[in-house]
Amino acid sequence: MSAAASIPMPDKGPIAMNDTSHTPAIEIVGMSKWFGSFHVLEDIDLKVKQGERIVVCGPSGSGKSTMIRCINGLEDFQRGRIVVHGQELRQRARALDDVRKKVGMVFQQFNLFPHLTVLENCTLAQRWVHKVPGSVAIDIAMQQLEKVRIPEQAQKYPGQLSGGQQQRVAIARSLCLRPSIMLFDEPTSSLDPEMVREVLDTMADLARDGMTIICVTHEMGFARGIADRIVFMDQGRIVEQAPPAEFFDAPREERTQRFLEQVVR
Amino acid sequence: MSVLLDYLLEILQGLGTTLSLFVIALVIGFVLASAVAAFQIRFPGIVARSIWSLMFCIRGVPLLLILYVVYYGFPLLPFIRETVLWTVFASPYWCAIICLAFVEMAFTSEIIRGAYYQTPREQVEAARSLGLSGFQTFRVAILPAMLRNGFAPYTTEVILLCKSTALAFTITVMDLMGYANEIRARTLDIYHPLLIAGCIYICIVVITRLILSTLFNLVAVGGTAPEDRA
Repeated sequence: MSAAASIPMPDKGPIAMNDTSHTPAIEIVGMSKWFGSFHVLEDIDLKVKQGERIVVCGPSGSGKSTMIRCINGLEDFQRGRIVVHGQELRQRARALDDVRKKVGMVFQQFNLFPHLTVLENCTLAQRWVHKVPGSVAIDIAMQQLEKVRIPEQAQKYPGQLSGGQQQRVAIARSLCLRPSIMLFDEPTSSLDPEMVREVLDTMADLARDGMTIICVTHEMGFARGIADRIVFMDQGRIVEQAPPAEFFDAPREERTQRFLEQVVR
Repeated sequence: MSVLLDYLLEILQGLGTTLSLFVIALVIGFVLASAVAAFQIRFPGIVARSIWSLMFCIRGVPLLLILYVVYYGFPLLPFIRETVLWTVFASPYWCAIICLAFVEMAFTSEIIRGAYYQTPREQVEAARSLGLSGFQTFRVAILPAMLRNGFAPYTTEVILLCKSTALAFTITVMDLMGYANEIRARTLDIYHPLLIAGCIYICIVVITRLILSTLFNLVAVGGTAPEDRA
């Protein structure tokens, strides 16, 4: 895993847009958000290049999840702007639909549709949103399920799978839509310890394929192995961002040092 | 024994009336309740609160009282007696259906609303993050959750409605209860006709439950039952 930094990175991922490879995948400028009078996010600036892998960490309540949920419009924000592949959120009503077609999201609680089979979970949005014909949607779904190594579970219902398997299905479900960016919101936090590995491995595969990834996680080993850059947040601000080696071995900020003392032994 | 059979056959003359009161009021009540609940959800604030208060009043008043107001009171109103509305309100049968549907609407709208607000937010977020439209999100995330959450209370409500139809006999509708009561009055045999009617009501309730749970299994849940999931 620690060899991740030396993995050859194609300058364009297989599914990156060819004419926009110079624009950043995501650009957040001066974004602020309040819940009532509580300032959850304060003046966030973050630029993510295509194919870049960002891990966001920090204590709970620091606004990490809220920040990435703003990127695909699950949360609103009051000030600043977010631009995804040159498309500014909030500029026009349809922008959000376009952005959601390019940005996949994986949640802490998997959030599969419990009344649909694994396969149906994976084909649904393809057919309804992207108007892919049924048989093609199934082919794509099976490819992605193979990629996350559970094609044999295709006919089962989410309730019949383990947490780790459900999370891998959730990843496959997102991948079926060919997103160019994947957001992970604490994907392993509600898993049994022995299932964390299989999900992290799946994400590492994605990283190797050149996907742009923003992942909120407490898995510091994963962060060290996979991330190009680690963003540390506290109290709604980005305190520090640095490549993993620098972040773990020579953190500049005192707050970061205290956090690392708590989480890394 | 043959007396009992005679009673049974006589009471069963009211079966069609009871069933049609029940089913028609159920359908009208459900359609109205869906509209009322949708309106409350769509227009929160003063609109929703006013509707809610109105529904609360309907739920708070005994059905028998509503039946009496409509059946004995409406004919006194010129705009009902002298217009086309009279064709409906002159019939005790349709008065009963309208009252039952009205009360059913007030209870069911609250069940629908409750089921809607119990929908896990995460399910909706998952659907939206996949790019699904508002209606598609409703279909795949909200509606199934509403069925899961609303099924048990709605079954209870349907059974209560079934038994409420028996009140219709107080405004001269000859349903199961009406025939049973007539035998009671005529023969002074109290237990037999009433118990026979009671058994028929229980049969209707059992069959209703079977139909509802079959429908539920058809449309709502594949795989394991919802309570098996953590």
